[in-house]
Amino acid sequence: MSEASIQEKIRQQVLGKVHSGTVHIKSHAHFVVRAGLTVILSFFSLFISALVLSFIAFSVRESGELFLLGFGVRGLLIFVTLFPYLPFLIDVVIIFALQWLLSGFSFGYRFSVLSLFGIVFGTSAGLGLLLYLSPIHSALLWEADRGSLPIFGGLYEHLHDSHHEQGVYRGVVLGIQNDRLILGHNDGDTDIDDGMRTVLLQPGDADKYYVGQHIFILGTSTGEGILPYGMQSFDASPR
Amino acid sequence: MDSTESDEMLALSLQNGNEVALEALMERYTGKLLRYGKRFFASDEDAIADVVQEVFISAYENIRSFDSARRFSPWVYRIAHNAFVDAVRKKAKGPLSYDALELDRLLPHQIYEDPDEKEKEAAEMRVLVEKHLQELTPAYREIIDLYYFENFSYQEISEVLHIPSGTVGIRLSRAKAKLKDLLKKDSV
Repeated sequence: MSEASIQEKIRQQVLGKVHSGTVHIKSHAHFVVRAGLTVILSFFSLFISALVLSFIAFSVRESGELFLLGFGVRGLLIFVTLFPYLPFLIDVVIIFALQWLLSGFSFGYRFSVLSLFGIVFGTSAGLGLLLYLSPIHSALLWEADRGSLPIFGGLYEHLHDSHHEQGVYRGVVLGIQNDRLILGHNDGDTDIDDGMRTVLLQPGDADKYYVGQHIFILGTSTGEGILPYGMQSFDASPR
Repeated sequence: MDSTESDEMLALSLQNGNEVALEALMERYTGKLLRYGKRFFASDEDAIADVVQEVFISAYENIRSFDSARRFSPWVYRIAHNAFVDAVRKKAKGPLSYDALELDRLLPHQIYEDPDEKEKEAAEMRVLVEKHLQELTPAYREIIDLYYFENFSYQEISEVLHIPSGTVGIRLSRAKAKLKDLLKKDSV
């Protein structure tokens, strides 16, 4: 078939569909609404991403797991084990989805993949920092501890759990007897990790502690009590 | 319809519902898009014609998303690029048949367009591309076509392919290097 006849065939088929009303010009409003929805979805995704990132930072601080980084290699390994990977993966997925959304805009595709990722991640992290500094997560945690936060309550409620199987304990000093501390754990929620434990101290260390002090411990459970590998005191938060 | 009217004027007219403008635009672009399609489907005329028809229908449906303050040509080639890439993928029944990885998009590149060099190379490229068409990947054939034959700038190619201008430069220089390699092999 010659090119002229191919061109004529295309012309006839396209015009045939146009004249028969099979295809029609989409209205200007259609594109305005679509662009508006994409912008709203992009901002929503950015906010969710920032919220998840701030939650990760909050959870690492609030659970006391940040102290593990000061407890040597063993602490680092436990930190890696306890890191909140699920929210992190959710955030990575949101960031990639946001990157895909933005690459549809004329400013989006002008950046390389890594540059756009950096911009998206940087913006999300900046916004996340603001949320982290705000009282939003503390307020949600307060609600969760009282069992009144639906859906995401579990995520917050478990921030104050002790991870005995990993050798991670927390609590408040209830009493000091020679080289032993009596540690009580009551995180005020509805889980069942509350109770009292004995912490074995190095000789002479007892005067470093006082009743009512909050303590985070990485240690080994023995028949006599917890033999600490690393201990860190904190004032009131995390509980 | 006045044959001196610019593509952009015709598109504006079509936005206002003048279907004669569609005919005029089709007259101007059907041949070009059929030639462009050969960069994706070398000899499958039916497949190319089907896609070109699809391009015009999509352009007609979406004409009100076209900003008449900008050039019409990169806009319609953007639709054509998407349609041909989709068709190539469907035909190959695999997602990686058209450089889907696009690794050259990962990092930012700084590259400058040289119009004088473009003019000098255009004739040479035309001969090389026609001779070695089948030995280049569709992505390389397409970028050579847009730059040397459709006479698009880096910026316009960036709009068609939705890649950064620096990546256009890198991909183009790789395509040229590949062509020159083929030429060397030929002469040996």
